[in-house]
Amino acid sequence: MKGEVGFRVLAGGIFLIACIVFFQYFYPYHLFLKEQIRLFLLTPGYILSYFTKPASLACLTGDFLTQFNYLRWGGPVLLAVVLWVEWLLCTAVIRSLTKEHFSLVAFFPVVVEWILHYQINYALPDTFSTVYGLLFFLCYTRLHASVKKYLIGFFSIPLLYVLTGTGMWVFVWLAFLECLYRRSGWLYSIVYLLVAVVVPWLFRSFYLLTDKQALLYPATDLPALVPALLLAGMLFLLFSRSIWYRLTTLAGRGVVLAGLLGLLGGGTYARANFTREKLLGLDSEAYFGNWERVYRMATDYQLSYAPATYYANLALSYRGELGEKLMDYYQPASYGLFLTVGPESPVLHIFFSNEAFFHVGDMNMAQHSAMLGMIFLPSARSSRMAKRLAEINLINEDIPATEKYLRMLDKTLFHRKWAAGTRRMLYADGPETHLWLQVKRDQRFTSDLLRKGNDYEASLKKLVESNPQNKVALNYLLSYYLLNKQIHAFGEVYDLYGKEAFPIVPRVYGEGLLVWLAGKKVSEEVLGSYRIPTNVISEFIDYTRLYEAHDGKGAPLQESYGRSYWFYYHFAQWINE
Amino acid sequence: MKKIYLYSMCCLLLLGSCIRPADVEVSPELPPVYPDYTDITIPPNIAPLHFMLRNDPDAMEVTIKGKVTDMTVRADRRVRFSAKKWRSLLEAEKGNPLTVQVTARVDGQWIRYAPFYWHIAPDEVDPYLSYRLIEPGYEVWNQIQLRERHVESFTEWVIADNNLTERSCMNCHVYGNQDPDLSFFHIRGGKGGTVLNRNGSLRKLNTLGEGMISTAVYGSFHPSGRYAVFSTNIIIPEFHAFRGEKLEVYDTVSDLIILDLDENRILTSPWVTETDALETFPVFSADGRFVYFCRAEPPALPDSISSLRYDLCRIAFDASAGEWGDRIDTVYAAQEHGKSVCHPKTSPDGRFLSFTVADYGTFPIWHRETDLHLMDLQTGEMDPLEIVNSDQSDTYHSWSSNSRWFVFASKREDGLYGKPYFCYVDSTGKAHKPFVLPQRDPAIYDDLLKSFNIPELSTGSLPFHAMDIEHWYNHTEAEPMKRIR
Repeated sequence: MKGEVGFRVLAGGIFLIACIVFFQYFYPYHLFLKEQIRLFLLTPGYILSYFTKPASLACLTGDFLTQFNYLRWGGPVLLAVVLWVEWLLCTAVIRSLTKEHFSLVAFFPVVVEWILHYQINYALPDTFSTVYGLLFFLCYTRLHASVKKYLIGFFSIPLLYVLTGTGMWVFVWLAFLECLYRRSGWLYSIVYLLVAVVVPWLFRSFYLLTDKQALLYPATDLPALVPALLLAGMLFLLFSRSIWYRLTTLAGRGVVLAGLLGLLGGGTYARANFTREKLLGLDSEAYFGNWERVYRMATDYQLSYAPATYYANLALSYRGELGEKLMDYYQPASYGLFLTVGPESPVLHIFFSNEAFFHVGDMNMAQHSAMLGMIFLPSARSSRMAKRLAEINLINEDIPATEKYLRMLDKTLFHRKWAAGTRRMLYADGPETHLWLQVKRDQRFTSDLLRKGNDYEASLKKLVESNPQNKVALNYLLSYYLLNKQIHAFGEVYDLYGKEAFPIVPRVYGEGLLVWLAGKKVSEEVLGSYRIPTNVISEFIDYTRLYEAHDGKGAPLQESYGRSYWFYYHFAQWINE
Repeated sequence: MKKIYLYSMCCLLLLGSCIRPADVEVSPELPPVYPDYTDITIPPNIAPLHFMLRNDPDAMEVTIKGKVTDMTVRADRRVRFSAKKWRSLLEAEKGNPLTVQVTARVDGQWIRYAPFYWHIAPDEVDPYLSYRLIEPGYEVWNQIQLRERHVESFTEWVIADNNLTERSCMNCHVYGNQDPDLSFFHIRGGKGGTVLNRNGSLRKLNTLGEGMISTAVYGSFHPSGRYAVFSTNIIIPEFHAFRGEKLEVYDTVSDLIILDLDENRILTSPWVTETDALETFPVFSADGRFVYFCRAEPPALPDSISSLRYDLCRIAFDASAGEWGDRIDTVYAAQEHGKSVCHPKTSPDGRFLSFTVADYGTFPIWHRETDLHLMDLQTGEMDPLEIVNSDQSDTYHSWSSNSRWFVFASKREDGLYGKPYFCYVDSTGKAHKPFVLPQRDPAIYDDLLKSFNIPELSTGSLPFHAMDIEHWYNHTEAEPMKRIR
């Protein structure tokens, strides 16, 4: 017995540490995002709103705790503890039905739960549904088998649905297995199953859910039921004494351990999306304002993926190096400058899309994108977007609109300090005390323009016209032309604004200018007026020589000039990702 | 022991609401009441006006004194009234003013603010209100609900939810004659159509007739209930760049049609279709003899959007023959005043014509300068409704069946999220300061990220529910409409 307790403590401890280490060091940004796509308000009205959908208690607990994901280490520690509690409950359930300790076996459903948490749309409310279902079942098993017990079970099913959603299924399946194990109460367990089938259907019209939503709430897909189904399946197997006898042996434990590690490894390989984790890393560090880190990460990752380029370009722009290092990264035309938002766009792209507009100073489009970023989330609320909307309205000097979002953030656990700081800026006597605010206000349009949402060229041109000092917008406009191979437009804008803005011609702009000027066949005097570094001119001559020598083939140029604008201009082709 | 504990808890809970003012400092200022319920006119059948103070008091005493009776309420941060006492108070004081005295403890100091007034109008407002709840994402939607609210209480329910209709776009719900048994709204998408709630059944209409530029868009019922007039529009959304202005939505083409709901016919006229002019926002006059609508000669769009201005016009309609008139009259030449008219609505008694006026364009939601105007059709006098309008968009109004109240959507609080405001128009035609729809928790508007679109009043509760609309969407065949030229 003592050995068993020690084993359980050891196993639980290893699990806790492994879970924390994994989610802290290998998968932290998914957990950050899960906080950012929610906005939990500590107000009676908001808390009561949870009762307009099933699984109210599970969602309330899960969403409340998800706030702690905002803290570094918060998400991993929290998730590890919740999964550890779930394991304890699974262990207790197995013990209550088999009278044996199968601590290791009880990890199976928990490991599946762990794997499910790799998804963005799987969150703590889903886990709490299972946890509450297990907890209720354990309480239920304490009751002596009697009509009273079965009546309690019967009437608890709708209550469980209201409070835990899919936790109801956990309870019903386990109650069925209990009857199987005790070989009594069959009728009741079948009635339980029938009631559980009917309850979501009955409550559907109250909660206004589709059939699928009603069955799976708060989850969105069937895999959410796998942990509970797995537990039920294992229990069914454990009823066979020969199986459980084998599992108590050292070899049996070894097999179980190998199975667990295989499940975790295989599940991680199959379900963990480390490319998305990298992308979320870029995004979250951008949100935290760590642009140097975004730059380092983008440089290390070198992802050939438009949203990753989007953050790489933003980081370059923050460093003032867009014109210098634009071609050091994968560039899918101008799709890495602004993320396209349309009916088919992934939710994450919509969520990210405000950053570039905000950065260049197009506050109306930033507001539109931030609102869309919030609207298309499952909860239609986001602490991060609320902060962004407050910032946008602060820049627009719109006090009532800023207050709208600050009042909401005042009611959160971890964003209220930010709200207080922003409010101080809002009511400060002069914006000159806040350089950031002054810079952002200066970036804005000074006259109107009516444009389509994806007419980035018109927006950038107008921003530069409004304020030629808006170097961010100028860099984006020049890069936009270069990446879309609109070399003539690039040259004209550079002539108009770039000559003055860039005393030293950034490398990529110099390369673009040479393409433009070569096309115009300008004199050496005119070429000299652009102050393009001589090494760039020499390389251009060399590139042209090689290009002609190899009959316009790209391969021989790849090694020396693969990262030059000239190579991009000649050989880059758009292929749908 | 248990009882003592229970009593102690109850006493502690009650203590907060039993603190009486002491050492009171008198302030000449009005209390920072939210929502702004100071000096307003309210109907005798409105739900309790729960409110709170913006300066975070920890205790409050509110005394309401009328000519006949009075009421005192103590609270911490939010003032809530007993529904029963509230009803008795309004009933007893119908037609009288109420004086509201707020005393609040802020930072440990009791402050007695200057009193404000609630004038109880003698006329009731229609007891039901429908609206669309949608995120103000400019032209994009995800979650949309049409809801109905009983304005005499806080009861609210959902009449349509796009979660049940494949996330299709849902347009706003419009009543005919403020009658809950006569209404329509459009659901877009594959299985969508126009939902017609009439004579106890829900019909699905396919309003896209032969040669029409689009399905029906903005519309209203004929008083007989047999006809409904609609615009058909090709709508273009574009974005402004400059500070407060956000979205501009304009039509490149728009026409008017009348649907004969008995015969499933579409009645058109060369006067309002097949013209170069843009015609939109049609409504029938109270007697059904005219169609009021907005009309503009389109400039080059979008470059000259700021010169796109709509006049308020009308054209006759003969309901017995089902025929359009053959002349268009200009009722209000807004262009001459450098303005543009939207959303005309006639009061049910036929005396008033209300509409919104913006500097230009046809989409006033994001135009801050948009104001409501009231035209007395008997005298031709125009009231710019200064007491009603704000410095933000005030638009989308709907009359109560007694023509004494109208409800409208205003973004006056934050410029982003529209809320329904009620305005009283007394027998002399004078409009009074409006007030926002009361909520059980007055802070709910702070936490809400949705706009109340097209609030519409009605005399009764609608006979359908969101689940009926789901069934309608999935199982009702659309009835085609035949165009009659």
